[in-house]
Amino acid sequence: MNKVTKTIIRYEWASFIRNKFQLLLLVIIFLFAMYAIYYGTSVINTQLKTITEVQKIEADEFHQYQVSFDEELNSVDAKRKKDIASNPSYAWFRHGYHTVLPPHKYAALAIGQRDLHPYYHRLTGMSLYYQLFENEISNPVKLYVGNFDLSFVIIYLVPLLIIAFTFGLYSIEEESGVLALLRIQSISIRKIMLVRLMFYFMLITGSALLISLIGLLVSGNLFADENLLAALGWLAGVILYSAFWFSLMFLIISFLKNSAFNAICAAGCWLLFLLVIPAVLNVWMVAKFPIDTTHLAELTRRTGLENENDEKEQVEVLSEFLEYNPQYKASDSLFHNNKYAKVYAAFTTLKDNHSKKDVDAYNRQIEKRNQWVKQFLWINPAVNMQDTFALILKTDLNTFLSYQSALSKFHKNINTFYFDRLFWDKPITQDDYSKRPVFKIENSNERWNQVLYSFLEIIFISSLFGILGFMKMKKTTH
Amino acid sequence: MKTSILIAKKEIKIALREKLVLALSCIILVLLGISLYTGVVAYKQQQETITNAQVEKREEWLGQGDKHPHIAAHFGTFIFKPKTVLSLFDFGLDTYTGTSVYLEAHYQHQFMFRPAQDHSSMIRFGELSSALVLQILMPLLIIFLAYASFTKEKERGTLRLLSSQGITLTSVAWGKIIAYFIMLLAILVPFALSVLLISYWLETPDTVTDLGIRIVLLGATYMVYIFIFIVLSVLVSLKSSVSRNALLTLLTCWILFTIIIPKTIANFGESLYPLPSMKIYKEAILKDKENGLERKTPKAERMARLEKELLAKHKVDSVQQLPFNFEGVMMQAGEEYGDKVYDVHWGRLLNIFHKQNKLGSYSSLVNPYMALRNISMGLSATDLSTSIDFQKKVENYRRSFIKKMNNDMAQNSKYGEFYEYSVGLDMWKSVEDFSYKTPSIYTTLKKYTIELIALLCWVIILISLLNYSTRKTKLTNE
Amino acid sequence: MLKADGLTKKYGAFTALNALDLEIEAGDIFCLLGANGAGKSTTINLFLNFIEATSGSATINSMDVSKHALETKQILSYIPENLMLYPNLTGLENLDFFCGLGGKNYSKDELDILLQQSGLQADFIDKRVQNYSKGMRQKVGIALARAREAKVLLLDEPTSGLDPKASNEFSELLLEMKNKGVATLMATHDLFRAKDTGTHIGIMKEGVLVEKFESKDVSFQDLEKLYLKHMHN
Repeated sequence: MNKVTKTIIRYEWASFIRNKFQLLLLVIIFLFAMYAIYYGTSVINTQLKTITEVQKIEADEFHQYQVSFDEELNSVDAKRKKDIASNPSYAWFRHGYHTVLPPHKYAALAIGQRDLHPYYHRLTGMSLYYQLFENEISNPVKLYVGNFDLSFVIIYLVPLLIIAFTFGLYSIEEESGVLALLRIQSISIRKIMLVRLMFYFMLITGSALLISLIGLLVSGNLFADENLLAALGWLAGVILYSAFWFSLMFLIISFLKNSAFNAICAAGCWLLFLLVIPAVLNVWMVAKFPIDTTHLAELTRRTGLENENDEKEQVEVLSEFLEYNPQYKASDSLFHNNKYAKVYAAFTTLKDNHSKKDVDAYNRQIEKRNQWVKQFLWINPAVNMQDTFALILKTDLNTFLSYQSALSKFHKNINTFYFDRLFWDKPITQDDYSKRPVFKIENSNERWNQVLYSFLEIIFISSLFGILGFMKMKKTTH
Repeated sequence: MKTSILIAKKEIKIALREKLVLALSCIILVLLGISLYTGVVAYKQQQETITNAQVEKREEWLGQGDKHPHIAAHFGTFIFKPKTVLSLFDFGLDTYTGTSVYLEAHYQHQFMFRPAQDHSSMIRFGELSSALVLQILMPLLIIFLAYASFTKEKERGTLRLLSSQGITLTSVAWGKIIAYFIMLLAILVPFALSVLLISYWLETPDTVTDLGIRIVLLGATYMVYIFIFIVLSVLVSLKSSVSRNALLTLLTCWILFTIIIPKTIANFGESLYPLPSMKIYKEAILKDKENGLERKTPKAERMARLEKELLAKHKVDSVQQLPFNFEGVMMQAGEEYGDKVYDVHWGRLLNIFHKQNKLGSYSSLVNPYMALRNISMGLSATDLSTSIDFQKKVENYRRSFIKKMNNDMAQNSKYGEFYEYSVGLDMWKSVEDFSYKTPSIYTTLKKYTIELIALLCWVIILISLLNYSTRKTKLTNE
Repeated sequence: MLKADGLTKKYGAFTALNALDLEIEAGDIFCLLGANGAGKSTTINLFLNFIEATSGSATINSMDVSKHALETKQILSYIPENLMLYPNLTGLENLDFFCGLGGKNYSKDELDILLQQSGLQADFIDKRVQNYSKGMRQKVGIALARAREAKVLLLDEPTSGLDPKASNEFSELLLEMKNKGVATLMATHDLFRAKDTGTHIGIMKEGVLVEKFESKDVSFQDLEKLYLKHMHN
């Protein structure tokens, strides 16, 4: 770095320090970021607490079942407990398995959809879909307004800081008259502007990285396995997003208009990327891909057979059940045992098979919406980066969709565990409890490809703006 | 007054020659047009779907054939939340509140399928509604129009010229305010008329009460809001030394009002008054139903007590001798106790919502945007209180039809006979179809007294400040 | 050093400068006189490459100012009519900054001396420029001109708004420049200063250089008469 550049940087720093307004802005953003980290952490901690509670409830429940085998059967209560524990006719819809989508260690930084979609379920052998769509309690006003987490500070507030610091980089000099002295220098105006822009880039990006590091360290060990890559991804995202806004500001400045024009233009762009484009896309998407959930409402209805005693109906139900589950065909000779329980089990399971078409159509429509929206991401780095942050921290919509499909698989395992015993007239033994189904989500690292791709999209558009700005700003000005 | 009008005329002429102003107005008009169009399409689409679904479910209820009334009580029915016609203007919280609920005996189900859950994650950036354009973008137009209203005159020296001719700053200020107000009304009034016409044209079925008054009040409050921003911008311009500072100050206010304060307050409210998890909430209700509120009266005890009371009252020795079916009475008693328990818990939950949102209401004293946002949602019947009112009325409907079923069982069937007793179409018909009307405008407005007072205060304080400042400001030799 | 060859600037149909031919040698102080809008500032702006010539050329040290923008700027210094500096920095810091931009790094003491030599009061050197009067800013500008050790000095109405003492100090700078062999082009209204300090005088009217002579060839009264004659035509 040559002496001239050093001079520019030295005096830019002096000017910056003495500008009380800019210092205040930086401090305010810092305070907001601290609050955001605190808030995000408290939300995720609440979720963690709920998860612990819920897991304890399950542990207690199953412990109770296991213990009931060893107790003296000298009271109605004790007999009932053992019944529920060992008789598949009751067990299959009473035993509750908790599925949990645990938050990523850093989820506090970008809460994403964790407040909108349920992150735990209690599944029994009953119809899956009936249990799948239950919601968590939340205040609609709060959902509407969104989360004040660190990603909000980075995506919404840091650009404002960038705009505030750089919009007058050229125009203020011109309006105050200092520009004349700058124009007679043997170093081009463009170079001076670039150095100053670089200075603010370092300053603001550095601050944003510092804030992010604080957030990361507060939330978890930086070097633990799954955390390091996420941390690096987050930090890289912060740098790239900041670079985008700087290149945009450089383009705006390069038109060499007055301060007010620059400020209005920049504010307009901010509004465009963060409000207008997503808002328009959202309503357009709904009009283009309408979703009708009224058919899905039927899922919550727990129906039973018209008449439990009607032999014909029972046979119908059982035969249809066997079509979907041929593995139980050989047990049909045992159907006259424990008929009501088996028919009821078959009936509720069939409900899922019948609803599957509607649920699949619903999920497909959501997928279509997602895909359609993706194609607009490259022109909107703000939405792109917000999505990418959520993707890195596994709080995005796709994570929840994979959780839901893992749920379906798990539910099948539950059914198999109990139905194997129910339809073959076998009791549940105390040993079986150590073999009961366990919920697992696949940990794929596929998302990193998408993250990389998004980063490239943002680099592309930043470079585009930067190059245009560079060309527009003439070497010397007139 | 006459001078103010002269000044107003001049201001309008100048403003219409500013390309930036014209461009922004066009953008806003276009966005208003788009938002109105998509709002109407969404409303019609959803209203049609909901109406059809409701009709379908009613037919299902009526066509369920002959069965025991208690089984019908479990067959139940569905209610779909209707869209109010003004939701085409202000989406409010509709996207974040559940759209359908299942009604059956013994158990209060939750509303399911919040539309936001099937949008992409971009929904968190907001949806383009006309209300959004008017609440967030319109003030920006006002700021761009008016930020230099005084500073430009100061910079050019024309202010001193006016002053030297004996024209007071006050009349200059009011001239400008009148000019801007008229220009904005030119956008607002045709739009309001369009909303009025479209609403009346579209409004079937009739869910919203006092539609005409609501629209008029909406128009009035938005006008007050616009007026507030105009006076604020002119005031800031008066007190600022340079145009650039006026613009920055106003933009900072705008960001604080529309984004930062609402988000902070809502998040803060959630931290301060935490909500229970769905799991805990439901379990508490179940426990209390089983063991009695405050664990004092377990179910078995209550039923035994009831039996004893009724036997004593009718002076018989056994339940079979009672002149009605005791099982029916017992069923209904259990139902009513469950309702009582639910009311306690739900009441507590609503209280937490209320406390959280109260913070937002109070913040409207320092944030005119918040005041308008809440009032607008209230008048459009897309706010939380209308949603809760709807939920309450749905719950009442559930209770009344369950009661009808249980009473019929008590009156018309005999103790011990269950599968032998059945009713048919006449009974189903006797349960009226559910229809909903929003609370009256008076009830709604009462909920927003703080916001209304806030707007009033803003107007009064700003006008006083302006008059005070214009009298006090001396035009020194700057 | 400075040469204008048929230098013309037109804004559409309006001609701001009409085919100017001018040559200023090292050690010359050329004073351009003329009414407002006569083309004085245009000439200076053209030499500074702030605007582009419609036709003709302006060269400094045989280098065309538009083709060798950065090299020509390296050897010139400029003091505009109303010199503005960074208000949040002190006079010393401003000087250090602009010197540094030009590639010249002085120590704090050297800068101090430069400022004092240019007449800036010692106790103002470390005060922020927002507290300076126009004259004080001008002195910083003078210090800068000295510090850059330029070979060419361009001045646009440098003494307007200065009190007589400051004006006098300014004349001292000009003489110093002349002795150092700097070529100076000064646009001014100040007839007295032009005759007193300048070596050559030129009168501009409506974009044309109507008179050009050496100042020793006229007296103060003659100069005034000549000037007014052109103004009245």
